[in-house]
Amino acid sequence: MTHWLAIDTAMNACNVGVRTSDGQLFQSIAYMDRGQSEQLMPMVQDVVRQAGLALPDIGAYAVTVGPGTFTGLRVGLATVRALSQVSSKPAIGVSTFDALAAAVPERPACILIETKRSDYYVRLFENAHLHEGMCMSPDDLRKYIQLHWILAGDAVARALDETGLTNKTLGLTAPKINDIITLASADWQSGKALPPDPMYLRGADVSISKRKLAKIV
Amino acid sequence: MLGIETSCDETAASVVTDDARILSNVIYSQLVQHAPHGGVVPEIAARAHLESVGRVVDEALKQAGVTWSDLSAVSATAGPGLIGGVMVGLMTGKAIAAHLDKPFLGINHLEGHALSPRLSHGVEFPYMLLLVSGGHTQILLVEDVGQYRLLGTTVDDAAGECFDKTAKLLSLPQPGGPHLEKLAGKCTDLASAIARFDLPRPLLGKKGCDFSFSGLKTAVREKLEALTTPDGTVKESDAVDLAAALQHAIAGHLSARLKKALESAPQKPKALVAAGGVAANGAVRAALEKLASEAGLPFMAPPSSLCTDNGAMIAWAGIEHFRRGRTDGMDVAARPRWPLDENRVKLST
Repeated sequence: MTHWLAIDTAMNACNVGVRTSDGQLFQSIAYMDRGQSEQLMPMVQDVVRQAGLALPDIGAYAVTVGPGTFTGLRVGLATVRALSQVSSKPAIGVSTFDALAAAVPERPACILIETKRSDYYVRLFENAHLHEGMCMSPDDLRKYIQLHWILAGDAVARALDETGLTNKTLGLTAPKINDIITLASADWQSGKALPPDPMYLRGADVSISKRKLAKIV
Repeated sequence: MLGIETSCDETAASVVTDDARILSNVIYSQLVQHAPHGGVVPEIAARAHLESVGRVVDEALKQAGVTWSDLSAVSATAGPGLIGGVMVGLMTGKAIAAHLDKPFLGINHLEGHALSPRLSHGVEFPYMLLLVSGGHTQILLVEDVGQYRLLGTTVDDAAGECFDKTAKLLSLPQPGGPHLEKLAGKCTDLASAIARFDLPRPLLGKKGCDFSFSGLKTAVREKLEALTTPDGTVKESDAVDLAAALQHAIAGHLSARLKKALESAPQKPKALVAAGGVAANGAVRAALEKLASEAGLPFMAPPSSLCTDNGAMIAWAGIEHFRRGRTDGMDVAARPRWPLDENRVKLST
């Protein structure tokens, strides 16, 4: 057993926790639209201290890799990658979809994560099939969702509002730290662990300049 | 001191000692990622910084021949710059410092440039600084660490932008400044090139030490359009002359405004110093050297490896502050805007 530190800044929160080798959980969450880069490190230090540990005592790191806000993802990933690098301890990535789905007690469950634009990050969890995560417009979402699915995630309220769907829902504003660590630990033991690499699910918005360029001859 | 810089399109890390020895200065440029877009795309930059910062820091330690435990403190750029990239370097620096239980300093990128002549040349305070790059064009009287008197700044574009945008119109590779300089170097008759295009002389006769480059940029674009054939080509001799005339105009504008700053400075500086990417331009350097010698001042510019964005200047600015007892908390914010003179304390006279 080892002491785990988990960080989740993929959604609108700084979500931090330590699970000690004897299974005790210490955690702290603060919701914010911005300012994660300021609050994260002090929160990490506090939680580690509450657990009666120092950072070098941590044996493994878990971090949500997305989807989520691009900047939020990078705040958590840059931190965990650097901690892992300087300590030579493993860092395990956990999909935000998986971490949220772990908190939903029934299947099929459809996780909806806010993109902060018109569309949604969507992934369906069924016992029989493994589905991919995707990015979906409100129109496509309306056609895609079936009434017997439970919907969960931070974009659920907006989705119901925009699509008129009447599904059963579970509002989840952030993954649970214990779920993140449980998933990371299981993936690590089974050798299927994700690296702490971002899962953006969307390219960088880029426009190509249309100004005409002259060619020197 | 480990210094980390991620504020624009270069991921950089460096280890510097407090006696000004640069043990390593590793720079990873994202040029390739941004090239198809003809300029730096913030989200692409932020993604690339996250991808490479770990490797760059590792390499900086390896080249310096030090281990984590040899570090006394960690500095990282906290702004100004592209905020997504700044956060990557800032969080990396904080995490390293927190794990090692060593002091952390969040550094102003502009201050890194401003203090770099002390790293390369040991320049003493006060000195007159022209900070000139793709993002900034400022004249500062550097009075002490943290004491920067802003005497002039650009009212529109930065000088480097004027170089880069013109180079882009000529389909030169980015960043265009050095390529434009190379092109201008082929000019055999500068005087007639200058006379031929008669480019505007911005703010000529106007009071103060501010700069303006947008008029010059537009004039060059119009001249170039007039020289471009309908099939989109321009003769090399024309492009060479135009590049030389533009370079001359930029160098002249920089030096004219700096001359005013020297005349109106509240105290006599001990040196004239240029820093930032454009300070690597030969014509600019020559104009400033001439100005300095007329004013009876030594002229200095850090070598180009310290003029473009780099981690060594961030480490050094960290050292300068650390020596004066400053360290920052782990809650230091990333700042897209951070004027150098905002915390300036009035020194007793």
